[in-house]
Amino acid sequence: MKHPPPVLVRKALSTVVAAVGATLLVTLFLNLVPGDPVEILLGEQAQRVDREEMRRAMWLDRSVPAQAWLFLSSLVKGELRTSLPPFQDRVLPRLRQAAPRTGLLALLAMLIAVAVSLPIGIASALRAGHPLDRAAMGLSVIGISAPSFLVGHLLILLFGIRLGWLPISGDEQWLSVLLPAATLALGLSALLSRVTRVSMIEVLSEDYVLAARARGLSRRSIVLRHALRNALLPILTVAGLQLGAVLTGAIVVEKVFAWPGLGTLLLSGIERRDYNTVRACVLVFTLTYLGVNLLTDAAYALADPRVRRGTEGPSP
Amino acid sequence: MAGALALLLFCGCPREPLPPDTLVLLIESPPETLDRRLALSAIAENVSGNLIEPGLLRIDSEGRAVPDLAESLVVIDPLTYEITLRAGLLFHDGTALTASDVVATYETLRDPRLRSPLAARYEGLAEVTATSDLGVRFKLKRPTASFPVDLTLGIVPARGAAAVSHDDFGRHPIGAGPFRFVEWPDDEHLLLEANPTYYGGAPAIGHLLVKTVRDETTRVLELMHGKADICLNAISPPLLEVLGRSPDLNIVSTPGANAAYLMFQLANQKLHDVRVRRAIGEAIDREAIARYKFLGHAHPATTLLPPGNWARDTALAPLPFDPTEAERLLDAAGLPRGAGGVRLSLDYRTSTDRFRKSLGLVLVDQLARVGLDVHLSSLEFGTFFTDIRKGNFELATLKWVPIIDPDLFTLIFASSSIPTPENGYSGANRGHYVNPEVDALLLEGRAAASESVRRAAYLTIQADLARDLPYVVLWYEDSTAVLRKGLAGFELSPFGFFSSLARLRRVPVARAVAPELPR
Repeated sequence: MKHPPPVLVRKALSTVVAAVGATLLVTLFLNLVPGDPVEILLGEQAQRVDREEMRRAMWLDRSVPAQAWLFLSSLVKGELRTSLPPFQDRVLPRLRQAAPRTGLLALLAMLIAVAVSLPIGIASALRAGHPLDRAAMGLSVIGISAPSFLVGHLLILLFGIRLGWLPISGDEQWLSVLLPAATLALGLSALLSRVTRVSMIEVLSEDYVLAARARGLSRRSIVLRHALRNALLPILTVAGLQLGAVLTGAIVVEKVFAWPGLGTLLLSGIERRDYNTVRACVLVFTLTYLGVNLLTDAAYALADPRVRRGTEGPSP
Repeated sequence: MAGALALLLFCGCPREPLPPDTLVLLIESPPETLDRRLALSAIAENVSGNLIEPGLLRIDSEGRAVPDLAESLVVIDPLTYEITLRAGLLFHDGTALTASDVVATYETLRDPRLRSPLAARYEGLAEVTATSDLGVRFKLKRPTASFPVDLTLGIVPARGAAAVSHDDFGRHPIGAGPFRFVEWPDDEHLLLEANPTYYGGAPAIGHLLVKTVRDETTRVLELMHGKADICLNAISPPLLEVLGRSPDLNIVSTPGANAAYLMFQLANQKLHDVRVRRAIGEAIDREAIARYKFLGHAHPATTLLPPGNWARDTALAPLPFDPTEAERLLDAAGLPRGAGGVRLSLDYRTSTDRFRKSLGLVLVDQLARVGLDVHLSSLEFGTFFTDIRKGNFELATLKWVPIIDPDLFTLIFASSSIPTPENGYSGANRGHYVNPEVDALLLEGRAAASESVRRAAYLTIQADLARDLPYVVLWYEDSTAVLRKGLAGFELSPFGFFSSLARLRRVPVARAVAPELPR
């Protein structure tokens, strides 16, 4: 080939490969899970049911690649149905309903995390070694380590029950999204504030910051315009990578708060051995992750002109 | 990003506010369908069958099938049953419920196009015909005394039933039950409203929201916070105690129909001797477990048939807790204490459920005191259940689904029900129990038409089982409900049925008056 394929084509191709790969992998794992899904689904009623028919309807008589192929082709045709008797419910409408809810949750969590972590990280970097910095970083270790099912329940106890300000669970009210988003944001903001701090400390010791100071620029302008912009690349990288963690974290958080999103859909799919729903959710997670990585690449370009011009890769 | 967020807020927006007269029922997992003909899980059966689409008959608290939509049931001969419908029944959409709807429900159930998982259960049904507008005749292929229990299947309109491949019916059901379907936008929220034309009278509760909250702690918090009103059998005993302390909640508990049991692999030489099995049974302090692990929400059991069941042997005495006798029995069985005081090592399997596993550890400890070295393996449910089905265990503890008709004993104890590779491991006699007398009595109980003859057969069977001990039936776990104060008319079913929600009504609460603060 004379010309390398354009970036977009390459990206699209790799996305398709990743989607097929993810489907194959998840199908393989579902088939490796011990126990016969039909028997587990039927429990003690099994003796009165036509098992072979169910097995056929769940594609369990097919090979792993065949199952993956059946899944992808019926998904593309828009005919994908749940692998749960009576095998009539369509998967797509449920995905369409759940996905925006998880999207809202994840985006809001991201926003909260960025809004909280940037000021903390910058303030810590400016006062590195100061007791305030140590306290903030100590707290962030707790934030990173605290499991979200615990944090979620504590937040419910405080804001839902003690203070009675926010709804506890479900999505009946506008405010319902706040507690799950805050729970999801906690670990992320702790991590991001640490990354911001380290990155800022590094940049603040660069010559150009010294030069800017020597030229008499205001402290505010130095920190926000010169230092932060240069410190932003690693922060963006981590934030983008963490979206995977946000999506998987959403599974636990959605369970705690009974938030009807993709995580809840995935869990109920796993519980009921509804393989098609599980595959579909995993596929959505995969595609979102790839999409966000693309967006992160684009965001580099915005933050760093060198990337835009394509002359030099982003500095680590 | 802000724009994307605004867009998401728009499409991911919360639903409309609930009607003010809504009662919130919490459940732990959502029903997979609301079409009773297709319902497989207990929750789907409960919601569709007991709230939306009742059947011809229903199960009362003694496990008998009694009239519901049917006014009467007449057994013409062992192969022929005739029912007469109540006059003037209406479906939720206002159309009349007649014999043709009943016929259509049972016909479509057996239609392969519907792919109902229940179809095989009605394989013994030869023919269903309407004899008049309100009369239906059921012809069976062979005598089946437990057939009335199968007549509890929910009746759906012939139009809905005719569309067997209708995607929508299970998500927009129509029945003749006390509650009528309003909306089911997602798995978590199912909204129903009182059916003004219900034959038993419209429920006093205007709307019922069936809300799925998977996390137990969150369920507890919602109840404490007044965001939910009622929860049946979905709170474990320790947390029930916590809720009981709330001034706004009542805890109701009634002997339940779930029997937990310890199962032995009789084909294993170690457990072949009935004295060993009896010793194990007598080494278990069930009173202590019921008191401390279940906090009183369980009762030592004698037989698999739940309390109140018409065929239950009430004269059976529970196995005593007698470790001394247990040691004597083990000595007599030729198992003296060896090195380290151990008489016998046994393998014991449970699932990974935390509560079940902790119960298992208590049993292990109690058995160790009589010299039995029991190794507990806690296995992922799929693996565990596959092992159980194939008879791959020495000891195992499980819980039977509530037994309604004692004919289920055929599945559990008949020698023809021993699972083998040849029958696809389909029987549930997993402990390989063989007793020709029991086999003969099981056939008799299945075919006999009169309840007294059936009862006599099942009493003898229960006595045989108590003597041979293929199972040690451990305890019945209570059916429990958490209920907001100010709700009356609720009757807790031992089976946990939702039916009595239809009779709930609000009454003024006699609150303890708080001393008023001076202003």
